[in-house]
This record gives sequence, structure tokens and C-alpha cells, in this order.
Amino acid sequence: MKSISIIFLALVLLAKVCSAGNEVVVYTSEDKIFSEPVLQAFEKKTGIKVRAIYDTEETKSTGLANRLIAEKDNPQADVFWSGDPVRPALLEFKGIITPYFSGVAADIPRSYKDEDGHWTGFSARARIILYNTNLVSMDERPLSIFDLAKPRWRGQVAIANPLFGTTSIHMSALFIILGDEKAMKFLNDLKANGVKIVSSNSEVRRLVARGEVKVGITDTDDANVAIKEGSPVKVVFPDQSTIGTLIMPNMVCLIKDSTNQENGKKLIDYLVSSEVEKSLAFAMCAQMPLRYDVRTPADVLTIAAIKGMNINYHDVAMKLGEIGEFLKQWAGY
Amino acid sequence: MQKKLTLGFFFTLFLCTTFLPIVWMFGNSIYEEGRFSFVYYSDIFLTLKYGRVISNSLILASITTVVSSFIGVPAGFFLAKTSLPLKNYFKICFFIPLIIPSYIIGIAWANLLGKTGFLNNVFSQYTLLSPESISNFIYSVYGVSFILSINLFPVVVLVTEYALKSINPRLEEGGLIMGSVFQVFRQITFPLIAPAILSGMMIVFVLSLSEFGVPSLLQVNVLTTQIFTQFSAFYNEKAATASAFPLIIITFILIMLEKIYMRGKSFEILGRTSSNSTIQYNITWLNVVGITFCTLVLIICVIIPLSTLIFNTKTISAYHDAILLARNGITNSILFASIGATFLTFIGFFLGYLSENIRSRFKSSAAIFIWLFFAVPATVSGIGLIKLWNRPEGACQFIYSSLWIVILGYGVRFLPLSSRIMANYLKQIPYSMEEAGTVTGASWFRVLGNILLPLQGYGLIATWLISFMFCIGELGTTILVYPPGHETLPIALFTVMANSPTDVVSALSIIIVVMTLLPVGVFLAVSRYLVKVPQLTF
Repeated sequence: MKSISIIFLALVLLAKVCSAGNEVVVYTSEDKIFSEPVLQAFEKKTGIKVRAIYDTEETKSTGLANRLIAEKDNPQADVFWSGDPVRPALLEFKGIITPYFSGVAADIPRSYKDEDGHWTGFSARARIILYNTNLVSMDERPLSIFDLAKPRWRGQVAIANPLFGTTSIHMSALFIILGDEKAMKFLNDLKANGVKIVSSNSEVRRLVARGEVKVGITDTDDANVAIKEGSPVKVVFPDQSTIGTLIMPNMVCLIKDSTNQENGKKLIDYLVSSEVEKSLAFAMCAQMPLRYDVRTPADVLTIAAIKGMNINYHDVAMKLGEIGEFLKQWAGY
Repeated sequence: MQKKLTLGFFFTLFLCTTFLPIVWMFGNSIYEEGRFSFVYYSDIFLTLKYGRVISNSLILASITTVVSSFIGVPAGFFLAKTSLPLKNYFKICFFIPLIIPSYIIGIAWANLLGKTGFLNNVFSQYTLLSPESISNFIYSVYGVSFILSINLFPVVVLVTEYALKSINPRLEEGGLIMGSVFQVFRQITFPLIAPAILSGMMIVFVLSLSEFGVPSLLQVNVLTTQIFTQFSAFYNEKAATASAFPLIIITFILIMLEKIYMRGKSFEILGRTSSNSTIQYNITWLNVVGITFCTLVLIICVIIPLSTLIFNTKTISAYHDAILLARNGITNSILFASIGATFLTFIGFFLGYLSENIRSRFKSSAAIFIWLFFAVPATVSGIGLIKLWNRPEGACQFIYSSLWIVILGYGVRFLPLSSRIMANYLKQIPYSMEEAGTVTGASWFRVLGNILLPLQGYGLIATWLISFMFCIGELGTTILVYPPGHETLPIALFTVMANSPTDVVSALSIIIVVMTLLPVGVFLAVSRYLVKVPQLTF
């Protein structure tokens, strides 16, 4: 009996139980190497302990959105920091998040905030064309994503699986902008042109950087990593004279009925501040601030310098549900 | 009474920790809008759209099993039965492919055999193969099977090696008086270790069926990618769970086939003392074949992927950055995997006993129960664990907010595996030994402590090692349930790999290999003292 008690006590002591206190629990799908320094800075500034759960790329594990949905009845997280603008809308539909209007976000353009306060945007990425400079000259580079369906690029284009992540958001945005018929035709033309569907945006980056394909559609942060690594690649912000480039801000939201609501609000205020926008612009992800007056490095464009697609992120989330079956068939699933 | 109570306790523990979360998920998948509905199941079984993915899954698992066995069984034989030089180094090196996440091995081979890859250039220059055909191979079901075989053959090596070491040497000695080494192996040794090999093959088959990372990377559409799509693209956990049902049917068919094969056969091969000797063949030609074979396996399965990783980590600072990223993960991984492996071996022993050594009709149902859900993908288990344990009540909250939820995750994923391995080693103990103990009036605990456990030294070591390596590499379930501050090395790796420089990701992979091999080496060294084996040389 004595030995059983000792074993039980040892097991209990081993468990570093997560106790409530002056802390905040954040789930983030923003890449860890970019989000961790920001959260550490918040901790240092406020003294509030941040306990974070990070996500993998969407095609590598099922991800935090599913965890948040499964934890709905007894939420563990206070804040969800999403690396894309659609997951928060999905969580809103499922009743997992609660409105919070941050005063700090007053100068963020209205199109990047939910009018009911469910989510607030900050620092953005864009969907771009990445091309290999050893294989494609400056004059030959495609300036529109629609160029990629032309015979000239046959078998030379890579795109991530359109069912997941930012590629799915891009597809949904195209369906809204072009209409279903034109969007389907474009995707079918792209497929007929031998587009290589790969597992993730980082895989697109890898294939373009190694010259296995000449061009790929990916995100600015992936492109920037390849550039910083010295790969022979360059970026095109596509369709600047027509439909514009898809802009995808980070979004942050407060989890309904969570334990540390007040600390959660403080973290949201910090994340949407110009201080964080500036630090993310100077980080390797080179994210674009949504405010016009935030200083950026010379090679990071501001939102003002790019023509963005005119879309509503709520509509994109809704459309995603509608086109899922088509995308599944298109991707060969 | 002691025996019944103990076995009953462990079976109940299995039902609560492993069975319930998955049953919960399947129960939930047939309950839609307040009533029972089989809508997701009819979608799978009444339409033909799943035919192709099921056949892809079966092809993938079959090829992987065959290739892993062709590599693993001879390698296990050479390690256990010959006096191969550098044997211990080979053994430790053969663990490496199991430790490196299969996804990373996949990327390494995709780089080497992709259109601009080094090996692609070599093969296309010196053979009739075109660069496209080589690249197409790696992005196909055959390419995925090739990578998974590299990843999983160590399971067959370990199971074979320890089964060979467990054989009563008198049986082989008798054979050697009459026939050649080859005849003894074919007619005595191989049939005796057949259940262990079969068990290893089944483990590889089921693990490759439930593998998601490599098929996803190489864009091969199998059942697990369908399940994943339902979760991550459509957020439909019911449809995802229903999509996992064919995996359970396939597992059930496998169990039945195995039962038919095993019917009426006896594998009681252990000697009567704990210090069985192992026969080793010191024959020159056999040693030459052994060293050639093991070197070839080492080059293809270990040196090529490992050197790709080392080549990618061009600077020492990459290791520094990787250690900073993995600092919490290292201690957490070793602690969690050690507790997990001990837990899996301990409970696996009793469950293995329950499914092999009891004289009751319940035996075969217990075996089916324990093994049935092994192919269920990690995500389904993870969501099931959240639904079951994430409650505000004290005990549940204690478990859900501590390392124990991760350990429970290991249980759900790998308890069928550990009990399966133990069951096959327990099969080798004659029931008469236990009876002899009982007749002398010893309690069952005493029989357990003085007869069964000492005779199972090798079985316990093999089970602990395999469990440890699977626990340390687990990602799918852990990432869904781990509390903040409890991240493990695979989580550290996969959460940074999206946008971290390639050199840091490669350095982190190497750190995972080193950090896993260290405790494995310590365990092997300690276990040598626990199970002392004199060797007979022929």
C-alpha cells in the first residue's frame, strides 16, 4: 500500500499542471518562428505569462481550428491568433468566438475588421507568383495568374493543394471575383496545362527554388524565406492592372467563455498595435502593415503600394464551403 | 482470483483509455441532428468513389510490408545469429530511420530523386531511365511505399532479432547434428519465429495504412488523406471518422487471416531458465553475406537520408538555432516517451497475456478488441481524447492540463502495438511452466514475478524500445492535445518547418535522432546487465 501511495504521489508531482493565474492562453496558426518573439515581447512588457500552442502547416497536421472546435464546451484558449483571414470567420459560424472591439485598432482600415467585432486584422501576407530567375528572365515573367494557364507554362507551374490553407482562400476569392463559371474554366485550363499540385506552399517554394518547376503560386512569407536563403527566385505581385493581388491579414479573436478574458483582451490590443506590425515587417516573414504610417524595410511593400483584391473575408469563408466539392474533384481527391 | 482481478483491471484500463475515445468518435458519427443516421457510411459503402483510395491504401501497405520484411528479416537474422563485425553499430544505426520523421525522409528522397536531384542525374545518365520517369516514381504509390519501407523496416528487424534470441538453443542444436545451417534455419528456426515475423509484418501493414505524412507530401491519394481532407478542409469530424471505418474492416480481416494461419500451431519454444543461450554461426561466407547486406541497407536506409540532412546543415549556427527552438522539446520528449514506453510495456504485458495465455474463449475476443483500432488515424484518436477528457471536473481537468493527456494519447495510439508484440513473445512460453508454479502453491503474482517476467526479458526490451521510438516520434495525436509548455521534439520540428531555413530544419532533425539514440543506447546498455545471455558459437 505504501509503495502504491509513493508511486501515485510521484505521478502527481510529475504533472506540471497548468494553473490559472496572471496568464493568457493563446492558440496561434501564425508560424512559430514569427509569432513566438512577438508573444515574448508582450510577456516582457506586461508581466502577463503567455502560454502558447503553435500550429503546423495545414497540410502536415489537422491543426488548431479542429482543436478549438473540439474544445468548444470547455475552452482552454483565451485568444486565437490566426495566420489567415478565414479561420476566424469559420469559428464565428460555429459560435466559438466572442466580439471584442479593440480601441488600439481604430486606425486599421475597416475592410480588415469584422463590423461585429468578432475578429480584427493586422499585418498581412499576399498571394504572389514566385519564379526561378535561372529559368525565367525578367521580361518573360508572368504578370497575371491567368498567364499560367497558357501553353508557354505547360508543366512548369506548381500550386499547393487548393483544399487547404491560403491556397483554398485564394481559390475562394477567385470564385467571388470572377464568378463560378469563369473561375472553374480557369482552374480546368490550369489543370489541362499540367499544373503540379503539391502538398503545401513551402513545397511550392522548394520546387521553384530547386528549378523543378519554373514558377509557383505561394505566399510572400514563403517567398521571402527562399530569397533570404539565397535561392534564385523573385516575386511578382500578380494582376496589378486587373483584379488585384489577394491580401491576407493575420486576424485575432477572443474565445467565448474562456478563463482569462481580460488578459486576452490585453493581448489582442497588443497584437493589433503598430508596434507588432512594425516588428512583423522587419521579421523574416516580411509582413505588410495594414496601417499606412508604420515604417517598413526598403524591400517590404506597404498595403498602399499594392492593388489588393476587393473582397470581403466573410464572403470568402462562406464561398469556401460552397466550392469545396469542386476543389476536391479538381485536386483529384 | 488475483489473476482474474489483475487482468480485469488492465482490460478495463484499456477500455477506458484506448477504446472509449475512439468508440466515442464512431458513436458520434452515426448521430446526426438528434437521431441516428448512417449518411456518412452510406456515402462510403454505397458509392464507388472510395474504391480507388481503398485500393491505393492496400497497394501501399502491401508493398511496404513486403519490402520491409525483405530488408528486416535477413537484417534481424544477421544481427542475432552471426558474429558480424560492428554488429552493435549496425543495430543502433538501423534504429535511425524509425526515429527520423517519415516526412523528413520523404523530403530527402524527393530532393534526391526529383527532376533536378543528384541521384536522378546519376540514374538518368548511366541507365535507360529518363529524369521524368524517375521523378514520377517518387511521386507515386510506389515511391511512398519505398520511403515507408525505409522508415518501418526497423520494426521487423527488432521483432525478428529478439524472437531469434528467445529460441531454446536445444532445438537448433538438435538440428545442427543432422543438417546444415541452411536446413536448420529453413526447417526449425524460421517456422519457430514465424509468429513474431508475422506480427512485425502486420504492424508494418497497419502502420503504413494509417500513415498520412508521406502520401500527403507526395500527393498520393489514400484513405488517410481523405480523412484528413474531411477534418482540415471541411471541418466535418463525423465524415472524417466514418472515412476511417474501412481501415477497421481491413484490420479485422487481417486478424482473421492471422487466426486461420495460426490455428493448431504451437510456438512454445522458450527454455526453462531465464539464461537461455543463443546459438551463433561463425561461418565465413555467412558473415560476408551479412556484412554486405547490412552495409547496403545502411547506405540506402540510413546514410543517404542522414547525409542529406547533414549536407543541408551548412553551418554550426544552424545547430545553435535548432537547439534554441527545441530546448523545451528535448526534455519533454525524453520524459514523456520514457513514461509512455514504460506504461505501454507494463500494460501491454498484461493485455498480451490476456490475448494469448489465458485458457478461455474470451481470449480471441480480447485479441480482436485490443488490435482492432490500431489503424485508426491519429487525428480521430486526438479529437476523441479531447471530447472525453476536456471537462471542467477536477480529475479530468488535471489530466487534460498535464503531461498525462499526452501519455494517454500514446496509449490510444500504441497500446495495441505494445500488447501485440508482447503477445507474440508470450506465445513462446509453455503454459506448463505457469501450471508448475501454481501447483507448488505459489500465488499468481509470484508466478508472474519469478517465472513469466524473467522469461520475457527480450520481449520486454523489444517492446520498450519499439514503444519508446514510436512515442518519441508521435505527432498527430500529441499536437491536438498537448497542453501549453508541453511541446515535444516532433511538434517543435513541425511547427517551425514551414518557414524556417532548411539548415535549421535539418539540424533539428539531426538533434531528434541524437536525442532519441542517447536514451536508447543507455537502455540497451542497462538491459544487457538485466538479461545476461551466454552465446554458443558454431
